[in-house]
Amino acid sequence: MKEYDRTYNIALAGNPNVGKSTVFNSFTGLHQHTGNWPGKTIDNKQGEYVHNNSLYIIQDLPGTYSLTPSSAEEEVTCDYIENGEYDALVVVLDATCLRRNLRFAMQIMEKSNKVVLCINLIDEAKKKGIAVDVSKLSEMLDVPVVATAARSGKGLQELRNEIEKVVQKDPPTVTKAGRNTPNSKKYEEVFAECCRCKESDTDKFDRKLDKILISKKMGVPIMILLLIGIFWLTIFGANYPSEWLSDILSRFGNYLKELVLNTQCPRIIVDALFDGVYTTVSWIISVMLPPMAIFFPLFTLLEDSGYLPRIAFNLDTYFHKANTHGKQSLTMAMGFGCNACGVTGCRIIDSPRERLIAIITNSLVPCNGRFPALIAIISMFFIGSLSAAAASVAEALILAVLIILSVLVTLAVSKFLSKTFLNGIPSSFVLELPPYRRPQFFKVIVRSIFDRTLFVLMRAVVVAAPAGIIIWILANVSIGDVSILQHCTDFLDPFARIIGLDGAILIAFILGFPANEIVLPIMLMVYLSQGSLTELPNLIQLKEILIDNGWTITTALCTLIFMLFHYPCSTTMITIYKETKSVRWTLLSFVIPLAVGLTMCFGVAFVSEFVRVLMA
Amino acid sequence: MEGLLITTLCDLPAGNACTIIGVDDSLPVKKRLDELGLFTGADIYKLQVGPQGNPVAVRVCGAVLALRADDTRYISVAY
Repeated sequence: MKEYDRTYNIALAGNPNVGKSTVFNSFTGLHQHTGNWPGKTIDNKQGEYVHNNSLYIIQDLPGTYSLTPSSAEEEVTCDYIENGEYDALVVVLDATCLRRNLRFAMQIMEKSNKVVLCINLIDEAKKKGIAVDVSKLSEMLDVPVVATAARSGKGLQELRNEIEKVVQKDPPTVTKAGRNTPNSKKYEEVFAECCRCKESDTDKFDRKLDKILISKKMGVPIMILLLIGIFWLTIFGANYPSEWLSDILSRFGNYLKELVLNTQCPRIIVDALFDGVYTTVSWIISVMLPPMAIFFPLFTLLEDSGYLPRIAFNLDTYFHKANTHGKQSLTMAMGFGCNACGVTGCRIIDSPRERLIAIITNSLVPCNGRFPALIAIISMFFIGSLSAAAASVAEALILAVLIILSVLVTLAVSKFLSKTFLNGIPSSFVLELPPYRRPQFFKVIVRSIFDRTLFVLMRAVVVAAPAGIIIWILANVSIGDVSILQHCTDFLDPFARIIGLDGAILIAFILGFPANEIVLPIMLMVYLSQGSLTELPNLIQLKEILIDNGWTITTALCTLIFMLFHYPCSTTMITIYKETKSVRWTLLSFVIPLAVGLTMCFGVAFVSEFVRVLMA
Repeated sequence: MEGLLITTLCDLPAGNACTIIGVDDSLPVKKRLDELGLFTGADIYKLQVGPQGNPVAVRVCGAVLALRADDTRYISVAY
């Protein structure tokens, strides 16, 4: 245990998109953790760093535009600034947009006299022809001011020194309602004195990019191509690492099993633990980890580059028509990676009504866990005998149709919700389109793996372990001559036939609740009457097995639809409950996609039966 | 205001600079827009609009904001 001379509490405040998190991350490195503010679903990021043998506990306040509490983020920030016990408050300002930032900084200075101003993005401002007179600013406002470029680390050491000076000052006599009398226009004066810029052409390059990326005609097509590119990289890039992982994990499992068998442990318990729990958990890790470890860094790169808000810009008009928020397009895009992450991402939507709609509809778009099964079924049943190149194009097209279908259903269900359960007028949509920035590759990868990938994986494993036991018991305990699993399958079969599926498919979806990735393996386990999840054979063999078990085009189509629209996986359900704190909304999130899927499957099965009778 | 045309931000053609001459009080996001620098007297620039004319991108105080077209009807501008 290290000994420090003193411990200080400091906090970071500022508008969104000013690089607050960059300052925070470069101060703390990996010494940080994210929790929730008490009673609120707002991230509370805390970290620590050491400077001159003193420990600084640093708090990253939510980014806000003002201190008049009109949203939950603002409430948290405002409350902290007025009542929090801190030794220094670093207000981070964007040098490229100083006028607005100064206004916010001066609001804070009315309430706190432990302020250090950090004029960030000074390098970007310089490139754009904006000059900030730091010493003049410091003199006029009577607070320490440091110019920084947090991405390259410039000025951060000086910032630490200035923070140190502020925290070491004697406790100030006036703590609240500080020395600056509220003067709303003063910031204009300060700005005019301290900042020189030729504002008209400071952002030429960004505007040129925007003319393409969010143009009326090209914006949406470019966005779709970009997303398809990301899915392609994710799905095909994950193949080999998934195989390696599964290989390593199964070898390790076998080795471990041998070891345990040599002890006096009863055989049945060993089998349940290894063929049940270990197989299921390692299966889930090996199929979930690689795609997530590819998708989330790619997604975070888009986030970091400033492109994500442009997606919201492109799609807002459609979500507006569905009476919801433009930012729902972002949480939906995240849902393509992982619905649980998409649901957590809904925190960016301020209005509770629209946030709920975004949460409930999130699992209507297919996540990474469902793509492989979708692709496998498409290529087995809908491609026919095309050449390899033509087949992959046809596959992509059919997949694109499915994705568009899922987006349309998302919009329709959102509209339905906003007319019924979540009635209300759409809250307004003001979105900042930040300047494009070159993403920081390494930091992005590290952060996205820690914040998103491992987070989701842990939740999935927690549910997969008990599910593994249940699957194993069902498959290995017999009543009469057949396993419980077979009994369940037979029981469900008549019902499943009504919606174009069969008992095995339905039981696979039910047991696949912990993760969509295991639906196909469970189906196979039932068809082949095996006792544990087995490696998928190649697609030709798989197709033969499925056809031997009575699959038709209709079965394949209904399975595709049901794969798109059923209930969220258990990880997502837990996340929905944690985000909404409501059993009602969690149940609704379960029922709505299920109802959509059942209805559509029933429709398809009905029409196909009708056609069959007509033809006969 | 002589020689200036008065219209709403919604009807102003994209690619024009203008000055806000009033924001209607019935606009629900008036406060938020004010915080972001969209208040009477502010000089802004309408950059471009999204598919089907919505949303509207404007530059204000050196930052770019996107507003819903419906909201921009409440903002009168002179150019």
